[in-house]
Amino acid sequence: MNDQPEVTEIYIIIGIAVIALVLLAGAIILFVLYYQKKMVEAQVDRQQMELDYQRKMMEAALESQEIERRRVAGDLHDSIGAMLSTIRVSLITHAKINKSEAEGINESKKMLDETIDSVRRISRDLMPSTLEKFGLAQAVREMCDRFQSTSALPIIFHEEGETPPLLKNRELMIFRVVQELINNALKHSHATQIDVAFINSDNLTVVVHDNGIGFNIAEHKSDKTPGKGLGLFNIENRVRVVGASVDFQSEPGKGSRISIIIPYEKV
Amino acid sequence: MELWLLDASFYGSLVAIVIPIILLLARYPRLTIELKVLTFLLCFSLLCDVAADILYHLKIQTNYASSLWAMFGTVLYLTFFYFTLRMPSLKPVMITLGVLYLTYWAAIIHGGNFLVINARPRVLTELIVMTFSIIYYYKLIRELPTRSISTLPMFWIISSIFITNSAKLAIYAASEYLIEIHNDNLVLPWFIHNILSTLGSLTIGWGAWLNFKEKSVHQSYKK
Repeated sequence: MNDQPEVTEIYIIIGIAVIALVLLAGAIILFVLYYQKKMVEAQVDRQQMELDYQRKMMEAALESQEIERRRVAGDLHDSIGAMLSTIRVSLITHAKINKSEAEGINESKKMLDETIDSVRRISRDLMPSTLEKFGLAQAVREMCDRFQSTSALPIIFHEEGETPPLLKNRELMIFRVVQELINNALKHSHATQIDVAFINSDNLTVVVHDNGIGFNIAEHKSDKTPGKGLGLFNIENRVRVVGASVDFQSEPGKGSRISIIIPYEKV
Repeated sequence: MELWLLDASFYGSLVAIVIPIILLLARYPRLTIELKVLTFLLCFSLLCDVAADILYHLKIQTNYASSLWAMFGTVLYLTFFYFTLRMPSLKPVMITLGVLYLTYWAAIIHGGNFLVINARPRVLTELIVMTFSIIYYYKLIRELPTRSISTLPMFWIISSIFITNSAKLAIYAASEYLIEIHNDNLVLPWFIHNILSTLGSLTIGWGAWLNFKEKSVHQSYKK
């Protein structure tokens, strides 16, 4: 008669022990899950911080590059340009006084005019004043016209919708990328036409398309040989700095199409 | 407690263990070595359970089968953990444990106790399994996989083994006392044991399913 309650007690103890051990094992498993989740989150945060730091470093480097370009452009325009103009005036005066040497002086004047044009073009390329005055779309349109006049290749600019004004340093960054893309197309693509489009919808999408020989994207992405322009890697970095994304589409023999997608809220 | 409930829980655990076996055998040639050992372990467990059932219906002592499982099942668990953990420093520990455990069983057989319930070696088995499961979690935390560990097949398999064996520890620890002192038939503890086995097999099945899916996706990529 005494045995029965004792067995029941043991059963209760077994039940409690089973539950306790299951809970203990479950707690260990939950701890592992929680700990791993927290550690992975911390790792992701650390990586994000490193990325942000790299982005800021690159932004600062590009900004100082732009400041230097602005300084050189200013010096070219204001100092050398002004001096060349003074020389031009002096040559004209000289030609009026010495009519016998007018022909030779006119030759020199013609060469000087070409030099002045070159200095202006270099100065404008280094720091496009249109960008500051009239915004990105107008500056790119002007750049396309300028490239077309010097290369005799149709470079057609389209604008769908109205491009809203963006932050100045962002506009400059995008301008540089487009400038580099057109330069690359002119130098390497053997294209007969280049199209540049600004498409305004939910985002601003800038497309540079050529009908040239195309290229192998994977090969060119890793190409950082000096003298090959910024390279796709550097273009990607610049685009990342403005919070945009870039999509390269190209195949050998089928031209190339590079799209830069810029979310408005990022700029 | 009704005996039919014990029978139902026993057959339920037999059906449940078939699920991971099928899922693992379906991908057997592509399985990693630890999963191949696990497949063998599950098959051996199923075989011992079926043998015990046949012996029961033939009215022969069922402990032939269950002692055989307890003896070699532990060696298989050690092999499974050896390949899962891949820690060379643990190799001598595992070999020593295996040899000592088999020696213990040799002593039991020599003493003519092969056909009793032999709860003590089973308690040892559960402690060994629990220890190596904790070592697995420790290794997991140290290696810190970037993907969510709840998507790792082995995480579910080890968790299932860890929880069920932890719970069974309490049953084995009390069973010898219940039989020897109270002459109890262990229907209720064995019912709980079978329920735990069923849940454990289903969880291992989930791990095996994750592995099956992973391998299938990998294969379709290769195609």
